[in-house]
Amino acid sequence: MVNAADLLVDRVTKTYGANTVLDDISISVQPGEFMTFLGPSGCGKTTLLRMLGGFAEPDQGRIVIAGKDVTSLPPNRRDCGFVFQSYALFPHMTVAANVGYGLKLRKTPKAELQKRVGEVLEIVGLSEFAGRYPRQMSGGQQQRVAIARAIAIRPSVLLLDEPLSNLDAKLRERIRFELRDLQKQLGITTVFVTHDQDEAMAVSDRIVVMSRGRLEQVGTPTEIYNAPASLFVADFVGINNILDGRMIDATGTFARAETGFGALEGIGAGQAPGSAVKITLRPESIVVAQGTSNDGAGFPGTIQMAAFLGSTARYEIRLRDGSILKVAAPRGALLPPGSDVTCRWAPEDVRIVQ
Amino acid sequence: MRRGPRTPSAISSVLPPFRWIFPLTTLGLVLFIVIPPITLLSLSVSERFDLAYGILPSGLSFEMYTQWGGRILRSIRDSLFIAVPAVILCLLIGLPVAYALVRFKFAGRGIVSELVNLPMVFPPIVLAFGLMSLFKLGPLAPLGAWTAIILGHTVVSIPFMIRPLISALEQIDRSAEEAARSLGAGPLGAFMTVVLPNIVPSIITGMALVFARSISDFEITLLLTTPEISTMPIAIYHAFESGSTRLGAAVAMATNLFAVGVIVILEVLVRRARWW
Ligand SMILES: Nc1ncnc2c1ncn2[C@@H]1O[C@H](COP(=O)(O)OP(=O)(O)OP(=O)(O)O)[C@@H](O)[C@H]1O
Ligand SMILES: [Mg+2]
Repeated sequence: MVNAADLLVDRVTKTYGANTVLDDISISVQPGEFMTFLGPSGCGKTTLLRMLGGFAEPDQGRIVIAGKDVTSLPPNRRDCGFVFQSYALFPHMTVAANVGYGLKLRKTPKAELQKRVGEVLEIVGLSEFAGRYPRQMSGGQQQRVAIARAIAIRPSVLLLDEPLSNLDAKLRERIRFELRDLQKQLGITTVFVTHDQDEAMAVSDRIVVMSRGRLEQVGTPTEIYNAPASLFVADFVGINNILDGRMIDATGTFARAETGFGALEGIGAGQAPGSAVKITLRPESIVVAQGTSNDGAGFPGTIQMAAFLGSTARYEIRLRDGSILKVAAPRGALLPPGSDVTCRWAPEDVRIVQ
Repeated sequence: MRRGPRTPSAISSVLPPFRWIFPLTTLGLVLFIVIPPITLLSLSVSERFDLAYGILPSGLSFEMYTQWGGRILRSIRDSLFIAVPAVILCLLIGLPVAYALVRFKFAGRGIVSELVNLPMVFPPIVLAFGLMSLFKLGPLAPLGAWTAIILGHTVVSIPFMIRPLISALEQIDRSAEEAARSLGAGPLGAFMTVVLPNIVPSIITGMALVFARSISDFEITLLLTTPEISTMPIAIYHAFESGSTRLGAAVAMATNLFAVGVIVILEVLVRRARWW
């Protein structure tokens, strides 16, 4: 199914009373793209998604779907498939009737309707449940009915509001990939809302990171993870060490900063020498070696906490000035708490910001 | 941790003593529900107005039913002419009000939701008196007695419709309606296809309650009625008043049978209405 759909959020603002829920948001979603809105609870993800679906109207700005300005069109004239967190299935209708609901409203001939319902149920793997009522199905199955119902009308965009959050962890991971496969197979432009960054990383083409109604960063999962545009993104996406420092100088894209445990080098530019900066460093970028080094390279510390997590080990290491580094080490001998160690990392893994 | 065997006495000791009280209270309740209709039945088929042992007929005679059948049927008809429009009015008024109270936030919402319960709290005679001054003497007098009684019954029974509707609507996931909208339904279409089928049982329950309230109403009808309107309770009252307890009992018996019949039918419908 080739899809010419495209979705544009153009300078959208929304306030509830004195509370600015969305602040000048602009996003463009490419045809066939899987876009995720990621952010902590209350950052406005649902509000924005509901605006796309036609359940709320922006105070300012426009929403364009498939080249058409839909800003003040009601949901039934938008051609969006919406999947709700609560699934919102029609309890009094069978699975087949739920899935066929939108087609029936479109006056699809009966034979065609049955064929389409059959196809969609096949896609989500629920063919043998066509005659059941929603309450006779498990949460995961209900979820798939909700998705089937939304895609049965072949909408230009598929909107999903935390569709997996009511499922248990194992199932969530499986359906996450099923959803991604389905989306690729149909080539349908998709906007997915979640506050779970693993989920966002796993399924998205691009991620919109939001915080308190503001757009923090738009980028691919790799960009968001490796090159966070703000301290908020660095902190929110994945685990990060965030340390205080003071700018020394910069040469090209690299900068040097002074910290309580010594001077270090990292990617960063534009900060005035002497200004306060934050330094971010991913736990998996840190290499831990036992003992104190004699050559002066690396930073000495003591293991405070050590945890074995199966595929990796987690450490918390206290550096000379008392600051704590979170470290994720590949599997190997687990160093006991109290061990003296040396921490090293490459300057490319350090970011000096703000 | 080792658990000791649970003895029955250990279990019963944590239960309140209702175990021993409820057979007595239940028996008492059943007797007081069952005996009065039996007395009525006996009285209506008795040859004389005094009963054997207070509950059994002395001699058997269907004179009351054969002689007064027409009058009994007429009062059933009059009751229906009032109850059916009252039920329909309650539904037409109650459904939008209940929906608004559940779904919309509006100024005065709290006051309205208290207000709709008021007719249940007021003594009926007080309401009846107010309605009488409005309909018999006041500006609404030209509407006539039938309309007055129907409207009066609607007012007092509206809480019986609205309350079940509110609790049913509260059970419905708002996003189900939204899902219908995004699938292409208009606002009314979403209501008719997604909300309405789910509240049919409560609509029928509300109808049964309003119906029961209407056909058993006495005070409001009495104060608003004219001689040509004789609902079942009014007919019973007149029969007893004119000194014929046997006739009164016969009309009351007919009323009972009729009311129970209608309510049973509605109860069955309620069960059938939930097919999923
Ligand atoms: N109808 C409303 N009236 C007033 N405030 C609202 C309304 N809807 C949302 N808000 C506020 O807007 C903010 C954003 O809400 P929203 O539901 O979009 O957050 P979210 O990012 O989806 O959070 P969550 O992850 O918890 O679902 C919240 O502070 C919320 O209190
Ligand atoms: Mg939300």
